[in-house]
Amino acid sequence: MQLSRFVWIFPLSGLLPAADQQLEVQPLPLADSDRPGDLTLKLSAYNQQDNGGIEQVDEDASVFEAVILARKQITDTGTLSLRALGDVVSAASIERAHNADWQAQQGGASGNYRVGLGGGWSEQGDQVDWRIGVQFAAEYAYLSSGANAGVTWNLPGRNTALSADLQVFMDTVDLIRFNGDEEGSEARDTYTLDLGWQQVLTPYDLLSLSLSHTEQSGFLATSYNSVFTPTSEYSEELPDSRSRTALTTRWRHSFGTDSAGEIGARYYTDDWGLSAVTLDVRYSHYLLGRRLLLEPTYRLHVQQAAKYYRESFIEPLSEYRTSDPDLGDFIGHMVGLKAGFLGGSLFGYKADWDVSLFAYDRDNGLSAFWVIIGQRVEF
Amino acid sequence: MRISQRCGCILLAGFIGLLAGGCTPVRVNQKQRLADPIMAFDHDHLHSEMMGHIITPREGAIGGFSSVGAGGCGCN
Repeated sequence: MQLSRFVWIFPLSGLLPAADQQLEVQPLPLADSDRPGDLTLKLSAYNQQDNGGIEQVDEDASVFEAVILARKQITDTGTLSLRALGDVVSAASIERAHNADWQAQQGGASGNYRVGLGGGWSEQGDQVDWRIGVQFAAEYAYLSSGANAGVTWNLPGRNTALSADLQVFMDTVDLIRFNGDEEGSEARDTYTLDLGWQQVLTPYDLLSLSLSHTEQSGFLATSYNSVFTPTSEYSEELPDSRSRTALTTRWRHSFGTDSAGEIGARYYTDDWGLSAVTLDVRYSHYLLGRRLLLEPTYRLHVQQAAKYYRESFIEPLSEYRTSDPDLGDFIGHMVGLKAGFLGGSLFGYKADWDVSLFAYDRDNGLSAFWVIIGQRVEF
Repeated sequence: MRISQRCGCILLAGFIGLLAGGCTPVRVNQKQRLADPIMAFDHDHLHSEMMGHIITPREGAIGGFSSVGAGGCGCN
């Protein structure tokens, strides 16, 4: 069970610029006090039910997360953003009945907290936008520091945008095994290059293609994960390098002045032998004079297991082995609904609220549901 | 060739076909609908990132949707 992999990256926005950023005429310079800013708070509660997964391990889990993001345009073209994050994790796996002597010292599963800070700067130009960011995070038995930089080229006519983003993480893992054995610390380095292409097809259609490639090295197993033979339990062992590639395309269509829909698809493969196809369908519809925005979502994920994955093992064990259900075969269906309440006010400032509910059912028995609530205030 | 590899090829071929067939210059005065916030691919970026943070660890795959990549946390 991987409880704390709530990765935190920091571009200010997504891989590609928002449509309004890409298509609008550049604004006139503003006085300092008129430059826009906003403060966003998001809270999430996640719950996983164990109706399968690893037979010997209770994988029930819950995670609560809070994120605060503040953004302020500082210059005519530059925006500063700051972020703080906190997680609280609880997991039934810390009381595994099969190992009564185990003292729940493991890292991610029982870390029970995660905190992080980050900041970024973005510049928007006539043809070229760029962004940089840094971030730090700490959790029990894990430290992370990361940086990112990216650039977007808006081609003449602003119908085509090309982007490139690089993310680097230099992390340190304390190796605390499933049985409480401590084996020191090891590095985990991650380099990700994202290349994006966003194209205006028609006055009603946008298309994007992105290629994401990640190279990882260092300790890449989950230190507290284990595998089982009929008579014993052993630590998970995985290679110290991983090369991962994803190709994604998304098509967004305007159905009218108040609605839009999107279909996206991703193909993923890596050199651990894991491959997956993901389909994602979203719909957005304004109601009540654009004061309510409803957004239903459906996601299908079909995954073929890593070559090191087995549900159970027999001696002698292979050099690399895992029973992590997240690296196994499964088909997952996610449905969700987000409701945004727009155009309100809070202490005289323009404010929006949103609430979202999601359910994710996997055919390997690990299902989850979660809720996200948010508030955004403009200042 | 595995099923997922075939799907990947179909995905790429479909995208190139769409681009080749539908790509005509769109003038600024035709972009009113495209400029609506709901036409942005991730118009609530923080929400999209939180979704990525929740979903990505449950799947072995990364990248693409919401730009959430690997690294930065205690799991593979």
